[in-house]
Amino acid sequence: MTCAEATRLIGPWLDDELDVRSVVEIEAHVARCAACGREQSELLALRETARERLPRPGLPPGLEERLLGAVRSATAARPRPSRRWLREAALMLAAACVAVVVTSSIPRAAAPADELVDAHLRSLQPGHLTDVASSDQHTVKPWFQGKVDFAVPARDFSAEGFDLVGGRLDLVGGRQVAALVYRRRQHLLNLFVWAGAGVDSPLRFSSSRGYRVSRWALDGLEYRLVSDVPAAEADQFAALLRRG
Amino acid sequence: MPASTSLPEFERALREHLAAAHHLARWLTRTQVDAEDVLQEAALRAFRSFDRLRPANPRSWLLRIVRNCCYDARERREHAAEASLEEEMLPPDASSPVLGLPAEDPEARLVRMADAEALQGALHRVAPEHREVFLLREVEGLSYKEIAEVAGVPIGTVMSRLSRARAQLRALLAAGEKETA
Repeated sequence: MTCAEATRLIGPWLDDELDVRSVVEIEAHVARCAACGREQSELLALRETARERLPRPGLPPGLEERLLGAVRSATAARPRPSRRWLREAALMLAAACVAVVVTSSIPRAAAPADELVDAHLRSLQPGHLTDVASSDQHTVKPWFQGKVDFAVPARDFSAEGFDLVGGRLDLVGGRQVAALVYRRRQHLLNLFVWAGAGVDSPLRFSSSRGYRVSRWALDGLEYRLVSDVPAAEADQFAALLRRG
Repeated sequence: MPASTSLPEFERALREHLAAAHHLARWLTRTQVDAEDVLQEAALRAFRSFDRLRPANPRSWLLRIVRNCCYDARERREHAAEASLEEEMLPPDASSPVLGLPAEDPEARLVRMADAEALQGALHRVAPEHREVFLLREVEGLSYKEIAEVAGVPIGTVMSRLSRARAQLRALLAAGEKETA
């Protein structure tokens, strides 16, 4: 075996991808060729560094459950094929007629991440952050009365490091929403809340322009949390809010 | 109905290989947020094809989907080419292939076990196609055949990419050592 052949095969040899005969040949060659021996030890050193020293990022807490939650809610939303398709079709047609009326009179429920981030950025402009500035949930909550048609779950989480700063009315996707503002160190977080369709949905997330948008629905309310705090902290806060 | 009967099986596969999937996504995207977005998309995509494909090797099947989602995300980002890209998150020269590498010196000094930081930096400087085969082989311990499945290329291509990746990394590490020596 020549050195040129050996050099080509050393990698596959160390990767256990060589046939037995080539293994015997290359072992013999490397045993008596210093240059190929060095090639072998360098590749092994590189492997050892990669295996033993390269940091392996740990799984962020809750990631697994979030992913599975996203999959489960996608399955739940999947329409079931039915044998009584004719009846279903008739029902769907009726529903579609209703839907036309409904969607034309009510702003759409979905607020894309982009619009939420726009609203978040708008709120950071001077003078736009809050209409009611108070860290007292008993001040913020009643302020919304008569302004939105649901009870705004304004709660302070100072003990957990998320200070309630205040609230305001905002417009997202053509819909009037309640926005609660929280502070985490130097970061501001916006929690947008509005009355939804009444179907609970698990925590999901997306991102837009570097901002993390967490979304869930609980007890008839739709929630969107927008922030630039690290993902793990945003998730921690979303979990706190969901627990209430 | 197949969607519900296969859900537990799918969940098992996802749980079992999530660490490897997360690791790969982390190396093929810029930030943790990007990696998690990609994983969410990949999980949904994987679930949709799970019933149809019944993958014989769930690990390489899942990693392949994650990999493709990473490349799609990068393409979308490049198309968008927004001015507001967070360049500060980008490690120096990440995602740009190595240009003008020093020619391999047959008498190059022995690359000893390098430190993690040097290898990380070097990995960011090689092209993603080379980075991924190296990581899948050396860290995840995939066979050539499995890597070929993940990357969607023939085994011969895996071999040449792997050999190129190793040569580039060694050259970068050796150059770094000379600089600091």
